[in-house]
Amino acid sequence: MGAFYWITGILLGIAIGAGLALRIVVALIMSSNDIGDSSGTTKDFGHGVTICEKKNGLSRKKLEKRLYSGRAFIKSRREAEVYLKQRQDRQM
Amino acid sequence: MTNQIKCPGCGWTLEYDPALKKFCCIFCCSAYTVDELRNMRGEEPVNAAPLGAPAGETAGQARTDSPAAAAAGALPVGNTNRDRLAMPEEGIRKVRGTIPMNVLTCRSCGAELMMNHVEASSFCAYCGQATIASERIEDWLEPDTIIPFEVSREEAERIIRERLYAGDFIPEGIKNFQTDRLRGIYIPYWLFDIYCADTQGWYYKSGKYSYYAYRAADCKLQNFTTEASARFNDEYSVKLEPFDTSKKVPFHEAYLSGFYSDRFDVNDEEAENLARLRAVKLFDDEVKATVPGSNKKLEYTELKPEILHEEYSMLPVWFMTFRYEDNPYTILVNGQTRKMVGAVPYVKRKAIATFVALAAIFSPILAVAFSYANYFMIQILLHGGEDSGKPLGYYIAFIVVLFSWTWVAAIRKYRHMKQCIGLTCSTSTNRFVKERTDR
Repeated sequence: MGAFYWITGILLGIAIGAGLALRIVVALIMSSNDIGDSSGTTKDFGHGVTICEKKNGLSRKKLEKRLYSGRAFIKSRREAEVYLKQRQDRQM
Repeated sequence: MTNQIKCPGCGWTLEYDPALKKFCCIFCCSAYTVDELRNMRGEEPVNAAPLGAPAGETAGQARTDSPAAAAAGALPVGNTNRDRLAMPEEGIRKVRGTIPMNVLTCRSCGAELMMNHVEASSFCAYCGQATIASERIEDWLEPDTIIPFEVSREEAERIIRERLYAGDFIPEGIKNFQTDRLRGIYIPYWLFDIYCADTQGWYYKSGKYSYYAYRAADCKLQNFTTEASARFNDEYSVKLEPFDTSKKVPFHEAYLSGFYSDRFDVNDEEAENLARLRAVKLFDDEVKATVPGSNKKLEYTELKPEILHEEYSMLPVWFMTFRYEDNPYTILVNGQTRKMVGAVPYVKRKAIATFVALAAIFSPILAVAFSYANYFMIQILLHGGEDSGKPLGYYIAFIVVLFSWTWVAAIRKYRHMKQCIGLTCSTSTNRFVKERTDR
């Protein structure tokens, strides 16, 4: 039984140790040889995504009720402000 | 017909100097601003804009608006370029894969210039003077704006050399590379303002249970760059982002002098579709990041991105090609922000030696740790009673997670790295740079 602990332990140790070593080597190669690989996100082209409303932990029924409630879409605060300002300017 | 921006002092060709931000004559060392050139040529300022001012404050802004303002009828929304859009006689698709060349005449020496069907500026192979195919720009579609080069040829080469020299796994042959070609090319881009708004339903798992998340979100992407050259690799163009579009200026052909440039051959409609697809992906990814749990799936969405404004622009990119083991590698530098794009091969011996050394350190430590962990697990299993299976289950799950965290992640990253090296070595990019007249 004692040999079983050791044999499985050694096998696991070699396998995961080699995996960890490979992961570190690949990370080192990437930081050394990858000169540039990032691509743009929404924040590079403006303020990024504005979450106007969020709700977690819903059931399917509750989600569908929210999605198809027929309410007008609530625009983000930023868009709403622009719209209100332009409407005020026109009214003046 | 070609055009050359001549020096008023000596008649030699002027070229744009990114360091001075002026048009310089290498013969008499005179330097002129774009305003001075326009005055000398008797040209009207573009769109009555203050010369040199960012274009976004002039023509661009006049055509851009939010959907809210559009609904209110404040400003026209949409494309104004289409009226002027004129494609070359041959269709875009027909010319893909083959490069028809046109013969033009150099104004300085009268020699024949060979330019492919999309080139808008190049150099004369005989006298080396910068030449602009003005007629092509006028006939097809003049760009609305341009971001002039801010990085000089020397600086582009220097920053690539510095970066390559700093890499521990980069072969000496690459560190001390001989530049094969270094070309500054204005790449045609469509810039879109896109509005995305959506109510989304996301499925996710938290522990044993499944839930749904509701999100109402919106986003306005301004000057969303979509490359307009069919021959230039899309993957590369995305990685070159972002450009600082606040520094774009109204287009003037003089900016092309001293650089290569292409006209667009992906029309605005095709580019709009590509931009929409990418906008949806970026929007969904960002909303997804706000959803908790695992196994996230988008189940409800009606996202239809709305194009508010479009603009045809020329953006600066340096292409540097060098050879290593008979393969050409092309590294790109954003001509404005200095961002580099590319990946180079690694020293295999050094990588293997590092791997063996690290494995020799980690494996014995982990072997001892796992042997003791196995011993305790078996003891719990033998003497732990009814609930003894639970810790063993967690232990096996922990080992599976460790495997995926090490091997699976390492292999995925390695494959990605190989793809990036393949992209840097791609023949299409090399051809894109190579098939231009040498100076």
